[in-house]
Amino acid sequence: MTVALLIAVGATSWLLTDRLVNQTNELASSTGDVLVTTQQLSASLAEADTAAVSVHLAGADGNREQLRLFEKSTERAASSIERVARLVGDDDPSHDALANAASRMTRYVGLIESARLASIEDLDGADAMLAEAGQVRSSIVPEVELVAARARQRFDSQTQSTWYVVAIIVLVVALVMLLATQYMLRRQFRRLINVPLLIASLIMIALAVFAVRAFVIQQSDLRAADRSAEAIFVSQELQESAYRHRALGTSSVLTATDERDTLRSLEETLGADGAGTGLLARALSQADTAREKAAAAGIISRWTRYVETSDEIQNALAANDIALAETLTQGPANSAFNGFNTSVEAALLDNREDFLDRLQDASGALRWLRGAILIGSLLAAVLTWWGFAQRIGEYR
Amino acid sequence: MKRLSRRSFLQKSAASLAVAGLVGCGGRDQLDQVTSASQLRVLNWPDYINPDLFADSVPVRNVDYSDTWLDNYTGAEQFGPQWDIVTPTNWLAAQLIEAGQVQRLPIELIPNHKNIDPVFLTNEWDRGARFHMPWQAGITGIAYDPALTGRELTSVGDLFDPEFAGRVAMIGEMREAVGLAMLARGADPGRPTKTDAEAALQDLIAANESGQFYKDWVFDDFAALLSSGEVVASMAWSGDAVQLQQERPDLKFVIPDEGGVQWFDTMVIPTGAQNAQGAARWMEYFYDPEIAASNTEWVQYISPVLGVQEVLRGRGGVAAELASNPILFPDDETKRRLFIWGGLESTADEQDLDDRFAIMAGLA
Repeated sequence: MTVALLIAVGATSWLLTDRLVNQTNELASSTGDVLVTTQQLSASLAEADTAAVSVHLAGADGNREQLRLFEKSTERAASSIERVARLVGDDDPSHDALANAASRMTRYVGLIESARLASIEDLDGADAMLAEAGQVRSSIVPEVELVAARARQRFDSQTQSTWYVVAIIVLVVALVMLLATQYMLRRQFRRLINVPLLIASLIMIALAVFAVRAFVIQQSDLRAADRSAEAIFVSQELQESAYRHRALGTSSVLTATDERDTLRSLEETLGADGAGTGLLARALSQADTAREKAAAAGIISRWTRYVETSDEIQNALAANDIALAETLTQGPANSAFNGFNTSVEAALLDNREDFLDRLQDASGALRWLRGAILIGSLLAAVLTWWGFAQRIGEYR
Repeated sequence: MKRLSRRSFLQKSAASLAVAGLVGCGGRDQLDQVTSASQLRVLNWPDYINPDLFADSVPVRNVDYSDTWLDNYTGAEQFGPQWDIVTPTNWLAAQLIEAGQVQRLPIELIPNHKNIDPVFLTNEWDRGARFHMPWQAGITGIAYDPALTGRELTSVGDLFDPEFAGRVAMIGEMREAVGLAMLARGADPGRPTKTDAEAALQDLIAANESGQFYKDWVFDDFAALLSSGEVVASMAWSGDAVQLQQERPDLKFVIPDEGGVQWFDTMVIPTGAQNAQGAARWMEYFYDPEIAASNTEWVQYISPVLGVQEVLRGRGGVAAELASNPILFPDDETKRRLFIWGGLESTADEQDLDDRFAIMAGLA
């Protein structure tokens, strides 16, 4: 019975560990990457929009460098959509959302191109087309957010799995059974040591220690990955709020309306002073390492620069100086926003590397455990059987 | 006194880069340990730093400074962990980063990283400048002597005007020469296609074979040829042109109507460098707008550091004149006409272009 139990324990622990290994591998190879790529998608769209506005406002003068930036950004966004689609597996809601995002991307690019051509020809309706493109762009956001939210759900469920506790309990139960068997044999046959059974017990102790150690390392890596993931989520919120600010500022220039109050409200959401409860303050407070703190400080600095140019634009609008507002929008504000956007992206890339490294480490921590449990349990079972056989032989 | 240029090309086979790539040690994963050592080893282009700054106030002691980075091709052979800072041009920096030969910057030691002009942050090969900091930037345009041309030159097409046959100097840098020729065709060097680049190269080959260009392809020596009247016009680097104008204010430098090619040199820390901390302190120092402004006054190239223009204005006199020089501080309209070579999609195609350009220009 003990032998059968050891085999059962080995199989059960192997299955539980296998499940954990697969979950962790999926985290490393799929879910984590989806989280990062959706964030990059948001960044690319934001950059595409700033470039599109510059191209549009340049009118007949054209702006090939910004057009190139726009094309590169939309290419990057499209490839992000394709990449996420490959990574989300058979998650239908995510695929639906990505299909919507892709078709709206096509429409968005078409509208921007139409607006650009109309602007070059100085045709009526160019601004309206750009505004419509902005709406289409905005409608992509919820689709991307949905995919990110579902990836986050998967991430949470995969990182919060407690199967490792069951695996450890099963191993400990097997160890107790072996020790109990030792005790029983000692009482029945009055022999102090049964060497095969002793070795089997030692193997089970080693397995239990190895498993606990591997699970502790894995859980520690997952917690670290979780912190990196949190930074990624904050980056995403940051970039979306910043984009809304940028889009509103642009639309206020195109329609010559003062949007100062709404812009201020968004600035409070972001917490431009780096204090309080704003997203930037959160990013700074979540920074663990000196590198992360430096990155957060750089982002705040670049955001502050952008807000200063945004204020100048609103002042120009208030003074009815539309030409100045347009010049500032396509020049300094565009540049400052790109500076902010890319600094967030750079921090994200750092987080991404850290995040994926941690997930790989978590996966690596379990790499040998699966095989060790299977082989160790079987070996313990064989030794137990041998120990019993030896005892029965002596008895006869 | 005319300073030597930032580079004088001796183009060798770009295979040296591939060799350097093979021998380069390590990858990104083994990096990010901020190493420190008693000595900082810097490899830069010749005369590309204000010696006063370097000698008096640079905060890093015991600097082994070498100005032997003569060009990106032979320079690539020197690139490695024996240096803590090296200054390859943007396209080479991109290749080195891609090959894992450059380590991530310790930005926690470089608070002035925030002073990088955002225009340098959107490069596809290093978005947000995690692996490099721009050192100086320049524009490749046209310099000419109006007294000898008899008219203003405004277009890349003017370099191909038979009226100036044999008296037009061309710079032997593929990305800049082909880039300008692409602009003449209305193509975008920022997103070069193989077809466009090939057509531009054929234009250059045809003009070269017809004797349109000066007998030798040149590098920094274009300035001397122009100054002596041996050529009437030349492809030109903006910084050298500005320096030349101090001696010959009658000479002109223009960004052609079609646009100019912009490039920039970078500061990078090679993988395995022994003093990344010192390198970071060096970068931090030169990204202080006051220091960067002093450097700009001397090297006369475009500074990638935000705030330099304001500092120069505040200094008045010659410095303030530099602050309003559109070659050093391009306005928005000028910026729109500048293109940074974007690289062909296929590295092999770009290598092939490099090789055939070198053969045409007699550099191989």
